[in-house]
Amino acid sequence: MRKLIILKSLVDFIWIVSCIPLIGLSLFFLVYMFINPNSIDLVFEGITKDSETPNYTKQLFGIVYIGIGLISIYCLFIFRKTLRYFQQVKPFHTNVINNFYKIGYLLIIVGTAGTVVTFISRLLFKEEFKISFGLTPHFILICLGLFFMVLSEVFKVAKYAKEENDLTI
Amino acid sequence: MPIVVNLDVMLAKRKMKSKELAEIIGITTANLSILKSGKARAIRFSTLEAICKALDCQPSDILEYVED
Repeated sequence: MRKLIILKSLVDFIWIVSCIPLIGLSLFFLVYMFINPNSIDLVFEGITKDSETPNYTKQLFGIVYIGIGLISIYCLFIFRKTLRYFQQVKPFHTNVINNFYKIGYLLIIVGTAGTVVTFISRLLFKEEFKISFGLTPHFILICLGLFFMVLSEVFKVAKYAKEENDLTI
Repeated sequence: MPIVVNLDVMLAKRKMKSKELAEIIGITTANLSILKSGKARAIRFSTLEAICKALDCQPSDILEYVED
């Protein structure tokens, strides 16, 4: 149980220290990049460097990147909620199973979207055709997403087994 | 489920209360209630044995197959 407390504390710390300010900053930047389009070059320096692409393209990519970021934060939020169920000793609650499935699904979306957007932005802004195989962060996210989906299935089976056990007199 | 639990009938015949039976066979009244209401998915041989011993009856007196 101590491990769960440590995990919950860490997730809470990350949530309070980085996620909440990041939500505010993302929303602020979402508006600010339309007011001052040059600001995109500062934030997405690696992507938009030495390019003469129109602002609306950069803004579109900015929106997509912020969207991906916000989805990732939402995943952490759901994970926090799930940990709360574990603390209440309700590991086989229906919401836990649904949350794990949702986290997995969203992480796969984030990983896939991240791969595609990074590839397109490199091609568009830097004019380089680069496909990276191997251990990329996006690939890890997709694997993690699939793992959470498998975990959801495992919990579903475990829930059924628990119900069977509870109803065996 | 086509298996019907006639535990309440046997209890009435033996003039025994659910609480008494639960105490004798060592299960909670909540579990006995699940068994009586037919919500139970399975019954352990040990429980069945204890019920039969307490009510002085056969398993067939408690469980009955009725086609749906």
